[in-house]
Amino acid sequence: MTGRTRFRVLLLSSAIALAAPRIASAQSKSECKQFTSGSAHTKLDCIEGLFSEQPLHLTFSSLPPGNGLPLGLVYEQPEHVLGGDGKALTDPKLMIVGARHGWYATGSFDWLPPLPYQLKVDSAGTRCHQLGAMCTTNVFSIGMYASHRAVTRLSFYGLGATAPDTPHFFEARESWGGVAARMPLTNWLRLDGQIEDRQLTLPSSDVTATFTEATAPGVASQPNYLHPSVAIRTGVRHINELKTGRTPPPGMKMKSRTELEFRNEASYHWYNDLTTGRYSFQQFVFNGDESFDFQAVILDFFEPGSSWLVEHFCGGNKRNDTCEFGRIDVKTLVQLARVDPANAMPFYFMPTIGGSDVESRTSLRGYDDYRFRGADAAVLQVEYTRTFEKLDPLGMLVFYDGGLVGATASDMWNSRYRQDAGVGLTLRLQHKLFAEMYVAAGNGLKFGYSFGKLF
Amino acid sequence: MAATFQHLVVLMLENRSFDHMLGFLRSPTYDIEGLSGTESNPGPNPGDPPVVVSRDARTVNDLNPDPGHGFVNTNMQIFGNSDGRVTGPLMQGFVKDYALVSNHASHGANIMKCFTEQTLPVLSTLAKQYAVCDHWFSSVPGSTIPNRLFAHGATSLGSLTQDIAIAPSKLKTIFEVMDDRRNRSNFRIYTDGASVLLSNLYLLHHQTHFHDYRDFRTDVLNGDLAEYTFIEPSYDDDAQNGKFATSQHPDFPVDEGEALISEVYRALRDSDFWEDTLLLIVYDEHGGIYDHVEPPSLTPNPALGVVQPSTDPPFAFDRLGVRVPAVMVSPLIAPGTIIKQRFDHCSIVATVRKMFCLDRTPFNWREAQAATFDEVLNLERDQVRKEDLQLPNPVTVAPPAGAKVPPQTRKPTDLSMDMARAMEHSMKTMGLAPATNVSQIYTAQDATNYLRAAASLIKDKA
Repeated sequence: MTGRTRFRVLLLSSAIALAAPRIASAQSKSECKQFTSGSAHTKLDCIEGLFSEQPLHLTFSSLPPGNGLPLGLVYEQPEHVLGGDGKALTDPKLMIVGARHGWYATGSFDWLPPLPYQLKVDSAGTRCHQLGAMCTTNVFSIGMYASHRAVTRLSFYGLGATAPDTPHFFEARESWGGVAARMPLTNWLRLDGQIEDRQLTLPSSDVTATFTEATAPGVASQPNYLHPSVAIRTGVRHINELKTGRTPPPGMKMKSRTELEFRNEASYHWYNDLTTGRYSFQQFVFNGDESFDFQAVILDFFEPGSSWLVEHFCGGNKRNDTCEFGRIDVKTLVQLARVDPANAMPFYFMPTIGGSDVESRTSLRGYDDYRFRGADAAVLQVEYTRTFEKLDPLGMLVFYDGGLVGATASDMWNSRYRQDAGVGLTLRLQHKLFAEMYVAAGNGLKFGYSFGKLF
Repeated sequence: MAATFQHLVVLMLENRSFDHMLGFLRSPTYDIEGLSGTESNPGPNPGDPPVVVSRDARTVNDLNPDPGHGFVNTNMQIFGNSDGRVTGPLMQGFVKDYALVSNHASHGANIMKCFTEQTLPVLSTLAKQYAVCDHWFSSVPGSTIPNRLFAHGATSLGSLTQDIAIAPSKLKTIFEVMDDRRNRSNFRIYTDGASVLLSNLYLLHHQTHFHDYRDFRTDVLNGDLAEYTFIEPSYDDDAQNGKFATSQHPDFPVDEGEALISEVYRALRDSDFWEDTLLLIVYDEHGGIYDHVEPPSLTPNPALGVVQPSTDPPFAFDRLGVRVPAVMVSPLIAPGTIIKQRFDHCSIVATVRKMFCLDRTPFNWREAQAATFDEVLNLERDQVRKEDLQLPNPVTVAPPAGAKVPPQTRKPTDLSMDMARAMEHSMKTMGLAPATNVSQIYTAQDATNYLRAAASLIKDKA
């Protein structure tokens, strides 16, 4: 096996490990009894079973960056139930994972209640669940969750866009739990509501010893929060392509095809300090991802050598083969806080930009994780990705990141704008980003990688 | 000469047997190899009354836990033993096997539950309005992965298991044969999430053939329909986003798969390709669910190409799996067509090769022996059916609102379980041995029976 093949098989195996629970409906942990004497198929069945077979299986998960790669156990037992006029789904899940610098435990219960949805294929030819005037592909869901996370290595550089490049580390123990409801109104519009209780504590650390309430609000005491929020989510997908029917117009050998997808979410959060009242604040969050995927569809055979475009951008030279010219993603994240003059927003709830944030969202990839922190933050990311036809499924990535933080919105817009740019390699499977690794130039050169969720 | 089709669309769903889905369509005027209503299986224990097929299959809940459908379980269902020896009447082990798998005697009877035209209206309507194949067998007496590999490459490379890495990655599929640069015919694979084809090394390097199922209708209406299209259902629920799986794999909702079938039909019916397209709706395997037709044996002919045997357990792939539903839809098929020809998933490979490939050499003897369905259309071009058949909405088979769920299927209440445990404790203290164990109480009826028996024992002792 050559090095290149081995690399591809490694990537493939990772992808399969993710796909396994969905396809195999594994009944394969029992294969582990014959692990040493069994065939390669048996051994693989065993491994797949260990990571996928319900109700109890192993998992890889993630903790905030810098705390190690966790391995854990999951208990999940989804069950469909009939009742009233329809079907319900209960999906309980318990997970505990541990890593070098922390651990995380969570329990959740998602429920699709048996509302009197009428399943149909609508006049537009799309299957949907009708409830009153609404007819949506997805249905109303309710989720309950409770989590605890203890991590010992979170970095803090101070507040603002000009904080010195010296990391201090703190430990955080955070518990939160609540209820969320998600109501699809149309196939492109969903309303969410959530209420949760949240408590974070900061044991003694470099940060608690070095910083004060003036330089790191919330470092002295951490209250209990009641945190309700509402959100509106939109997701629009549109394909711009000429209708050519069964028989394309004579002479037309290729037609352009553009997939446009706009996914945006605006939410408003009330963080109510139940202990002292002085750390109450409100927050507006806008999260956007607009993608433009430029393609073409071949309508007629091109003579070999007659088209540079076909040879370098197309997956083949037959009718219905697609050519991929690349995809542009524009991602925005804006977080704005509203804090009464008598109150303060705790530093640990302030958004960060640089590397990844506490929720593992990437922002300024040329900077260290959590590098800049402020009550308000804005991030703009523009990415161009394209698969290499000859190296499919490997592709290239070119990106630009820019971001701002500030104590207030006006402070933020006047603060120093940080930016970086970089290039990288991607692995796309079934048109979904599975993995990327990159080099970014912002604050020197920085190497990084991330994994996307395939299914 | 009858017409032929120029586009083939295959929608392969999951784990349902022919009798379970379409068996009760049989009538004096519709003579499919279906059910008379008297077919039965012995009860799980000696002396138990036989369990007769019934018309009360529900959208979900009947088949949880998932019935066994690996090679050994399928042998138990067909032969009554794990190694496939003929020792008596066949197709008599379904109830017993499911009782063992579910660890509950009375639950085993659920394996005999079937749908009717009223409870499965979409597939039933398409079957009766177009063509039903009542002798389409799964290719392997076993589970999903080997059967799907046979549907793409007429072999599972010796694997009888749910291995989703080694065999799928190495398999040479009919897609690879079609992709010959000299060949003008093309293929597309539409997925809604995961696909076992994802792990195929050839397809891994040719990802542009994968398309998002959400685009299927748009693509077809825009004029982009390949000669061969393979559609994968979604294999998993997404509870956080309020989405049910469409695969119909037990215990995923059957009505969601019905809606998927309807959606695919509607997309083709609304397109310019309708008159030139054959839609095949087929299931990959029986899922451990009852069917009354014995799967036939095959005569290997390695001269036509070797089929790698399984060594673990030994099996030469010389026997078909249990019968599955297969429905063919085209406006060039007369209503009520019943196709008696024997097919299995290798028929897909053989038909695609015959119609769309330059390389006519079969992969192996399984493909060489498989019947093709390229001549299935039975109307002439000038007889093409012009009516726009509107499919009924899927039905969610659930108890009506307020209806009382029978105690045989209702879960026991916490109170009755507490009482049962208390009774068990009392009996142990008194040195009594109950006939059953509290851990074997699954339904409200079980709990009632247990409490009555325990009370009677304690009373007698007192």
